[in-house]
Amino acid sequence: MTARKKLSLVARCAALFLVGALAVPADPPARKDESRVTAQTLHGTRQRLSLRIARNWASVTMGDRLLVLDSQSHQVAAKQSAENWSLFGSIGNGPGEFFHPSEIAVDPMGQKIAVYDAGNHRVQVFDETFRLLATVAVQKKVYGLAWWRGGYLLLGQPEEGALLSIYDPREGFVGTVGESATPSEFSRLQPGFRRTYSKAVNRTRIVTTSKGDIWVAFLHLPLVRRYSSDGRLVGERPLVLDGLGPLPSYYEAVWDRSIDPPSATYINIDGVQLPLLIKDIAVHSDTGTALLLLGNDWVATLDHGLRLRLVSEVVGCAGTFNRLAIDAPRRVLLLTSLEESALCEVNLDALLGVSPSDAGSEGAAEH
Amino acid sequence: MKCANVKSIRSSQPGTGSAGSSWWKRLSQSSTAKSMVMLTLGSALLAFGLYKHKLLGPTPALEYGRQLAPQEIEGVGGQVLRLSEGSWYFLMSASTDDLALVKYLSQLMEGNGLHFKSFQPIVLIDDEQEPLTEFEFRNFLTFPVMALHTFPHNELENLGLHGHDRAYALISPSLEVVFASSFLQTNDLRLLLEKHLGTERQGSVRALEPGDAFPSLRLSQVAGPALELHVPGSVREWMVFTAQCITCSLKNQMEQLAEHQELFASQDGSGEVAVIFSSSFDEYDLVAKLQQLRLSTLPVYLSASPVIGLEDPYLQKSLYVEDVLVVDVDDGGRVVEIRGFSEVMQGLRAAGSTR
Repeated sequence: MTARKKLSLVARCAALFLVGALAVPADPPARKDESRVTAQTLHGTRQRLSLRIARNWASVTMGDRLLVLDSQSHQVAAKQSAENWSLFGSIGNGPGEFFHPSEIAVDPMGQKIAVYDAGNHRVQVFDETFRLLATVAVQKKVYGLAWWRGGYLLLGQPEEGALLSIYDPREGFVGTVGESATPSEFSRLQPGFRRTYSKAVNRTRIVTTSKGDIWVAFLHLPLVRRYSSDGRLVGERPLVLDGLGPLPSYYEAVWDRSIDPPSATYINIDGVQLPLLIKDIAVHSDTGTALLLLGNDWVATLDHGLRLRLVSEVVGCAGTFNRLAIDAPRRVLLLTSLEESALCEVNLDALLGVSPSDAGSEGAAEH
Repeated sequence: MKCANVKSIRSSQPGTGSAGSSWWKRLSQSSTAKSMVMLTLGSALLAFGLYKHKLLGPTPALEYGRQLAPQEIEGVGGQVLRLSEGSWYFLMSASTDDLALVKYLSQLMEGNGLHFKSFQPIVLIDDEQEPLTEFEFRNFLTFPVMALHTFPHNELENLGLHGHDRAYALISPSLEVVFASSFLQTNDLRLLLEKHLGTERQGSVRALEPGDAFPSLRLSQVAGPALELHVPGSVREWMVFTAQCITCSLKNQMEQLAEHQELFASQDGSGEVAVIFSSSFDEYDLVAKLQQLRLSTLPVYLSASPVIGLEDPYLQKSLYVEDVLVVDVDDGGRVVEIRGFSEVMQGLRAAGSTR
């Protein structure tokens, strides 16, 4: 990246920060610090996953079982023990079969599994033994899937005209929640950029709490939203990394070709790898704290007030991570790595031992 | 569900009642409106008549679970699309971009002895220019590749092939569609045949690792200058285009290859870069694309067989599902490092921007 591009990106990051600062109650701005000294390093242990092939996958926990959805082999793999995996489904269009499935979610009671079967334009709902319970036809593409209170499913589906679609597993589409977001909302500097990126961002990760609160992380926007159990927006803010300032904008980096290929997940600015996107989000059921996996493989926590604390990189687990999940019974955070077909386990208590009230970031905008 | 902020689509029911009747009264008094109503009714009657005579109406889709009838559709050139009970069929209606998938299918059939089982591919390609018989000849295909436009449109529609949309279907010996989709990757085709025709290969395959000798391959030169392949150190980087998803992004990869060539030449010029395309690629297609992109200075080879250790679908290393792998070799021809093409490109671009 040329010096001019770096300067331009840093300037826009600063502008983004100003926009965020104007949108939220005034708190002391984040300290500009090029080092990672404010971050706590995580220590994890690495395991090999005995999966045969994987290209795009999603992982989620069901009790102490890890479920990995493999889009390429059209299967769900359930980890029973270190070396023992059970496989469910196979390529096909029939009941219980999948064709390029891309999303998986487990209901809060740990009894039902929903799989977005993208190639077959449907969501299939299974019990914990993978017996098929229901099938819902879904025409518009889905990016993000979660169970909600009352047995409803939330699907990230901005093409339906809102951020999330609500589906009844038996009756289909019921309604919508939330407004979509566009990259242009996060750029005040370039009219050309704002014209080009005025369409809704369609990639989200959704998690819900046992009380029905909804967290939505936008993969390609530095933005997390929280909705209450009745679908009311209660918090929204651009993410600002403690000690490092606002997250760079993925779309602006693509726009001025600071990153190429566009699949890049982080950017080097002055020797520091900064995340360009949010890879995944999970919520700890006891504390209500959300955990974010960022594009540069750092982990961060977000409390109820959307205050962000950077926890930093995971030591002892080499590789790139793709998804995170919480194994609540074992109090372990699981990071899955596609490239290495590996699993990293991190002690959740140690991670959350950092009190959210210590966070240096600003308070969240309450709506 | 009672949610204040949830928008329900069921809340908007159309209104009925007295307002409706006055609306009809006003409309019926207008002569223009009367004519429009008569015209609409006439059109509806005509459509109903055509539907009864099966000239109009919903055409069947080639979808999962559909029971097909035995049939023969004859093309202009005398080729026949024939479905009869007792044989498995893989029906494919696609464009010339999918010729690599056709070649992959041929290799799968050969590798699994499917020629001797009751399995027949029916391949229809939507292209009026490509001499498909040449493609068959070049690739030693044992099944015909037929031109879509030579078959009667109506009969293809009745089979479920609509217009120029892509369609892929696996049909059982009882002529039931057991799988149908509008897209298909090479890995999907392999999995389908494994599942329904029991072609799964036994045994595990070892991935190529640093320290291994670069595999011995039978290569034919496609473009660029000839290399002394057996001289130690003559090639530093082997760029291998694998068959993991040959239908996905060849054009994009070729453009990146052009950029790689430029960046590599402008940076560290020591050693050579050579490109190997998997045996699933078609030589004719490759030469055309290489000429379009003016990649004539790069030595490009086509492998006569799959590149063992790098592109086997059973390899457990996830890196190896990348479409292009870059293998660095040392003077003795031993593998030093294997990286994905995207990672190599990122490194070259980063180095280029800091110069």
